[in-house]
Amino acid sequence: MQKRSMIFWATNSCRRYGEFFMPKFLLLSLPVYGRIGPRSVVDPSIHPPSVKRLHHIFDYKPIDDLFQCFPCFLVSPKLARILSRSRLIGFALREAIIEKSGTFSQLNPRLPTPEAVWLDVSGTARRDDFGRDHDGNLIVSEKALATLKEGSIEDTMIFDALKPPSRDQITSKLFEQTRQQLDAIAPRPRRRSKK
Amino acid sequence: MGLFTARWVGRNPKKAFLFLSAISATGVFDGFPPGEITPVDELAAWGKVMRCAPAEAKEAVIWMKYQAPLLVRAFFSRASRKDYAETFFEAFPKLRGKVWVHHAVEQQALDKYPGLITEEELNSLANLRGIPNEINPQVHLRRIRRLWDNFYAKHPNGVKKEELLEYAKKIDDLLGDKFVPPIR
Repeated sequence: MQKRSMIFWATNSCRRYGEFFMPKFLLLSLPVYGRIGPRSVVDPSIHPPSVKRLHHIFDYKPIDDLFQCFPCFLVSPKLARILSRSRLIGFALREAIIEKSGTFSQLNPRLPTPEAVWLDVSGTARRDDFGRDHDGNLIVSEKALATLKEGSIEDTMIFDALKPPSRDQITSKLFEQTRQQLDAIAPRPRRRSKK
Repeated sequence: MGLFTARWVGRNPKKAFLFLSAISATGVFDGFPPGEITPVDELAAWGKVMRCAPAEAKEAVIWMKYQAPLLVRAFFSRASRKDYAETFFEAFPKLRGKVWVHHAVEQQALDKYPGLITEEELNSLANLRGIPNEINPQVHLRRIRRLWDNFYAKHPNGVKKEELLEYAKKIDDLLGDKFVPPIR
């Protein structure tokens, strides 16, 4: 009995120390401001689909500096500069064909096409600073997250990549967050004045 | 004086038209009950008549054929034109300039899942929602786009039409009370 509890204690401690020393990785669920355009070259036979050339069409004005358009990730020029100066590994900054859609022009008639740089993630998830899991989610190291936070990533949902949520869990979290946000910005119903 | 006699109809043309329109919306005449895909024209046999009908009659038919079924499920009807905003504002003329017309199942679905749905279904009145301008459509549209992006990521290689509509219904459940006309 004593031997067993000793083994239990030892295994547990090792696990705890392991977790302590193991670098932490995070799964990011990013905002979306547009869609993939017809000039993209995508291979859908693998999952997540591999993209050789990216054509991104903005439908909405970007707020955050890091956003996605499944299966690609994009950054603002500001964040691209920060990332290129960093020593992080697992990504390449590539040029993409950027356009704005009719929706964008209608919603923001005076705004020029926003600039964006394609963040081509090529690293291995949970080993390099940038990687993708089997679902196509972005996995970053703590160090990478700290760098990304030098830009604005307020609308990003952050999860522990060692206990990653399922796609359905992310979806329900998104639904919940959307409801809360929209309730917060919705105008209060007008009170009828008593005659 | 008896109801529904030629004389009564002659004296009360508006009421008669309204009554007939409400009956037509049930699908009795054209065989397409509320929530079913109607052939070519949005309002089936009554489409052409409805275009020059008084606003009340139009509203009654549209409510019965589209808005009421949307309370319980998302569905497609079949559009007769590509200009979806015009389809929406023809049905709800009072909302012209007050709402942003949005597709419940996004236009992207046409490219993402080729052959699954047609353009007529996508641009049909049953698939259109109005987001009021005063509640910042940008915020709503951005949130909806994010929800759909998550759906595409989950179903990268194909999906059933029912799954698309089920997801659209989920979004309707979430935001239906904010749409105009409201569908929750």
